[in-house]
Amino acid sequence: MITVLYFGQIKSITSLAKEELSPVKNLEELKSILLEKYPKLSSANFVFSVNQKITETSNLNENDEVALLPPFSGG
Amino acid sequence: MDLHFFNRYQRQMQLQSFGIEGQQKLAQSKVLIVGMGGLGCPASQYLVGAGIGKIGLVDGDNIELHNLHRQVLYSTDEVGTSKATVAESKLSALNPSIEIESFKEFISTKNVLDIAKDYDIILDGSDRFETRYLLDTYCTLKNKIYVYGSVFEFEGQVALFNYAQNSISYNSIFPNRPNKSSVPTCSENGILGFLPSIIGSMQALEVVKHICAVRNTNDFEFIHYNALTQEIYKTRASSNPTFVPPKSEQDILSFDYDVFCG
Repeated sequence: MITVLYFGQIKSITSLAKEELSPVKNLEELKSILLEKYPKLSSANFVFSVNQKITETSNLNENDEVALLPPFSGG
Repeated sequence: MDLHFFNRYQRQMQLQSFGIEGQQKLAQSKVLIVGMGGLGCPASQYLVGAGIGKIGLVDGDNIELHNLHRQVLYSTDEVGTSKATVAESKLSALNPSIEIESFKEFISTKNVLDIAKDYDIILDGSDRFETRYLLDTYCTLKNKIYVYGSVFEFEGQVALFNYAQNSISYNSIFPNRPNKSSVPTCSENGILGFLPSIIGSMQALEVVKHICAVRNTNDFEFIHYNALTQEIYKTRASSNPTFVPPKSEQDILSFDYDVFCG
């Protein structure tokens, strides 16, 4: 399984902080699955962090952890 | 070293990795704090307490009653007066040996080159994306360190950008500028006072660790803190090959950040 973590405004969209998803080939595939599951993500601003490294592209393997990290503006 | 200096800073100088050398490095450093709200107040208090040589405070706002639950540097009888002016006076009283200057205005493309000129490190205590992108662009151009901190509900983020040889900038991590309407502010979403206090203190801590060279890593780290679960998620990054850094002051001056961020 792949663990997906949701932070900040993204968590408000998904209504959960974390979930396990069936393995997919890469980040692009994961993104389309997430967009289908949570259509509001299409207008959200975030970057992917795979196994604690921010990246735009990545292959995904069993037990990988992917976080959706939005920038915050509050202060 | 005079006795007063030794007495004031002895508890931190006692730390082996810090020592007199660390204290002297702090005394030679200049930090500009942009935004004297929930993040800037605690950051400024600890940096002034720690003995940073020169501190600049930038805020065009006056103190409001609904600030006081989190901006505990200020008092009820100061509501309606300038944050920058009151903070300068209180922080000078905390540590009269620090050179403190205050700017009763908001940072913008028009004044950033002038206000930030003397400072090596820019600590972002603002609450606007426009300011964040502007400060990061400025720091990238001038090879200064951009100390990012921000909060959303029960979560906060901290990172040192443009740090040492590491060329990672806020602009390169978040190249898609958020639309203002897509990201609620503290005034829209609410905030507990403790969280910006923790994040502002973490920003100040990262500044001191950098100056005194006691960071445990030279790598870039983006820290995400969850106040509800007390969990920290750390992530790294590589330079973004598609990021085009600013080339001249004109790149900053000619940019409309308000339009840029929607």
